[in-house]
Amino acid sequence: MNNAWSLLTVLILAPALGAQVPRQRVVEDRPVDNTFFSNRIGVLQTVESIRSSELAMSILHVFGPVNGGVDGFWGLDNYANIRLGLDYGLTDDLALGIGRSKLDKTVDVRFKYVWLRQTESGSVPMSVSLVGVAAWDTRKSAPGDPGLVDRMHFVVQPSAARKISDAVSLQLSPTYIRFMNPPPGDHYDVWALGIGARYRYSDTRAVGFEWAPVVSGAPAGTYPYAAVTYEMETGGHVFHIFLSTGDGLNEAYAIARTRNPVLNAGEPVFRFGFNVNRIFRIGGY
Amino acid sequence: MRALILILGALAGTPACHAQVYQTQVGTAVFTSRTPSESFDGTSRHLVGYLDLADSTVDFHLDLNTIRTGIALRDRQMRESFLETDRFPFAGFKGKIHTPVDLTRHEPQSVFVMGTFDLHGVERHFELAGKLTPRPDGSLRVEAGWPLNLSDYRIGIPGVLFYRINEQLAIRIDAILIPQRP
Repeated sequence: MNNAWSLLTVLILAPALGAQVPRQRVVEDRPVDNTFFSNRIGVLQTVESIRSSELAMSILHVFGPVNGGVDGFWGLDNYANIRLGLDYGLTDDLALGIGRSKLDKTVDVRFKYVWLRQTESGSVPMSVSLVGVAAWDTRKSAPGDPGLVDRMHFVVQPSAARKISDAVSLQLSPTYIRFMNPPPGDHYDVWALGIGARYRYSDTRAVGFEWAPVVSGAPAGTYPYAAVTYEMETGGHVFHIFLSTGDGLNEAYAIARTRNPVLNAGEPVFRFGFNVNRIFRIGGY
Repeated sequence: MRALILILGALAGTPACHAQVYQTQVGTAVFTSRTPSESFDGTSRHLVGYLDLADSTVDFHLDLNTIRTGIALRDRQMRESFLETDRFPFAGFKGKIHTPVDLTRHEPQSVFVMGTFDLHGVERHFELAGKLTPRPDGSLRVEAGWPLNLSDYRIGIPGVLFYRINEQLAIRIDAILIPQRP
C-alpha cells in the first residue's frame, strides 16, 4: 500500500515538479577563456586562435636601443622594424595569415591550427596549437645573388599552454627554423625553445614575458631573444607595449637574428616596441 | 484497491485532457548595444522556455555562455568581465501571464506577463508586454522585447579604450514552443 501512496504522490506532484525547465549548460565542460588576450605574447604566437570569419589586423613596431639616451630619444628616433599582418580565421581552429616586415623586406605566409583547447574541468589539461611559416627575403637581387627559394626560411612551432589560474598562464613553444641559404658558417637548421608567461592583474590588463633561447644551431653573433610586455585588452583591440632585446618581428628573426645580449658591458640593451591588434568580422555568424 | 487504481488512472490522464503545456523547439535571444562609436548585437539560439496555459506559468532561461557577438575576443571579455558566467551562467524569467490567450485565433495576441527576471545574481520584479501567436500546427510563437539597464543587475562596464557598450541594452526574444505530450 505504501508503494501505491508513493505512486499517487508522484502522479499528483509530477506536473508541478515538471513545470520547471531545469537549467543546464549547453556545453557542460567549456574551453577556458583568455589563456592569453591575443594570438601573440609580444612577437611569439600564443595558442589563441582567430575564430571563423574573423580578420585580425596587426601592426608591430620596434625602435632602436633605448640605451642611446636622450640624443636618440631612447631609440624612438630610429624605428628598426615594422611588420604589418593580416590573419583570417577559416574555421574556429584554422587561420591563415600574411605579413610583411621591414627587415630584409620579409614577406611571410603562415597557418595556425589549434588542435586542443584546455577545458574548465581539466579533462583537457592544456591548449595545443601548431604554427607553420614560410617567409621570403624580397629585397631586390642582383645577378649572382641567391634565388628566391634560397632566400626563404621556414618555421614550425608547436605550442602547449596552460591557464594555471585566472591570473597566470604559461606556454612552451619548441621551434624549428630552416634557413635555405644561411650566411657562411651558420647552420641551416636552428632549434629553439620558446617560453612564454602571462600574469593578468585585472580584467583587461596583463604583463607578459617571452624568452626563446636557441638550443641548437645558433647563428654566429646572436643571443637569446627576450621581451617583457604590457597588455591592454579592449574587446576589439589588444595593445602591447614591450621592451625587447631584438628587432625581429617574426619568429625566425626574433629567435635567430637577435644580435645583442640583454646586458652589454653591464648595461641593459632593450628596444621599445608596441603592437596594435584589431579584430574585425568578415561575414555573418 | 480498484478505486485507487481508478483514481490513479484519472490523475494520470489529466494532463492529456488539458494539453496546454508547451516547451521551446527553437528559441533566440538577442541584445543590441548602440553607442556613437560602436554598435553590435549579441545572439544566442539556445533560449529555453516553458509555458503552461493551464496555470499561466511562464519560465524561460538562457545559458549566457552561448551568446555570440561576432568577435570572440569581445565574447570572452563579456563572459569574464561583465556577466561573470562562471558564477552566474544563466539569465531567466519566471512569471505568470495576466491576459487570456485564445488558442483558436491563429494571429498575434498581446499578452502581459509579470514575474521575476534574474541576471548576474540579481532578481528583479519584472512586467513585460509581448506577443503570443497560436499557429495552425499547434505550436506557439512567443515574441517580446524590453530595455535592460546593466546597472540594475550590478553589471559594471570597465572603462576601456575604443570599445563601448551602452549602459542600456535592447533585448529581444523569439521562440517557437510546441505542445508537450503527456
